[in-house]
Amino acid sequence: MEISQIMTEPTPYKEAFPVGSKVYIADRAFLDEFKRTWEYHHKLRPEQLTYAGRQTTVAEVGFYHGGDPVYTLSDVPGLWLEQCLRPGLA
Amino acid sequence: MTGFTSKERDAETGLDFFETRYFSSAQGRFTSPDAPFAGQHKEDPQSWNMYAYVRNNPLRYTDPDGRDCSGGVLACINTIAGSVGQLGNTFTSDLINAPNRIIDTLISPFTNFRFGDVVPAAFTPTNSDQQEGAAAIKNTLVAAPVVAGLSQIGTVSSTVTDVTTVVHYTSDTGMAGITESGGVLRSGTYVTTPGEIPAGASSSTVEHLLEIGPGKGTNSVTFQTPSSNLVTPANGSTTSGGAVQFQLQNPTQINPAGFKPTNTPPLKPPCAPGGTCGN
Repeated sequence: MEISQIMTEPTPYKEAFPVGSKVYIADRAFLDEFKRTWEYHHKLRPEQLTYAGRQTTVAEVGFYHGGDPVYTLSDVPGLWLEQCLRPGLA
Repeated sequence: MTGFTSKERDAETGLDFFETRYFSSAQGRFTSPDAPFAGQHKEDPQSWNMYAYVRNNPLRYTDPDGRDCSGGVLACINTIAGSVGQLGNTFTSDLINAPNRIIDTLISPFTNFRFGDVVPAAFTPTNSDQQEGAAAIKNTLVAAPVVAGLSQIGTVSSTVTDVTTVVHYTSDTGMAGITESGGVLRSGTYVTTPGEIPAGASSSTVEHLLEIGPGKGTNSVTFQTPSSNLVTPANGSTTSGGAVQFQLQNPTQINPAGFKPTNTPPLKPPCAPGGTCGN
């Protein structure tokens, strides 16, 4: 599936996953494609790719210029954009 | 609708019409700069701020036409005289006395002993207007740097309101959302400092500098917040594009009327059939 078919534009200043939510990090194929194609802020760092598929919890949410939600996850390094997260099991 | 100092208020924008420019009563600032040399005096640095209203002293002066303060010529002259006198003090006695004053501040919680000034001030204000002019200069040239220095070593920070001017860029949709929320920027919102963005930069330049998608830098709001409300983001103090960045630690109220459109380049004219295209 093309990355453009998977990604949805986040709602400005309205996070899809509030603090405490369970989330999955997208699979490795998606992260690789996202890393290759995303040309804006908070690019994925190589070490983040190893956490593909991991279930974790949202620790903090920030909002970049333009209103893009930026996530900090429990026990997972780095900052994550909403496009790379999926709803987890409650 | 009547606005500040009985000027006509624009119902749509909330701005007051001051003959030559508009005034935002919410911010206490004109929305456009003073006409060159209309109200600036080289002897009076307070007049160099081209957006300020009557030297930031609306209780004493008024500005009938958006060009200069009117509180009596003598009052203005005395204010300038106070500024000039304090300038002389600053570059003579204040600088010489600064080390002793800093040490006196540092030891004040522990002892009543004071080293005191080494030399007396050369100029003493003799009326309230001169005192205001002198105080303005003293705060700008002496107090602010000294306070900033003391704050860094954590001595008097509790007594100082240390604020930083920051700016947040957003899209039309984002601006509408912030406005609907009552003008609250949520905790964790990223900001930068105005100096990071060149004056008059187009929205595409802003979007490039901040690494945001097209249309996400079309509006900005500049505001002051306590420096203690700014934290360094987890990915560092600069973006990967090199712009300084902070995050707001707490939800922060801004004035939605303070949103300004980023400079948007004019659209290219359409190509005429068989003709040349405009650039």
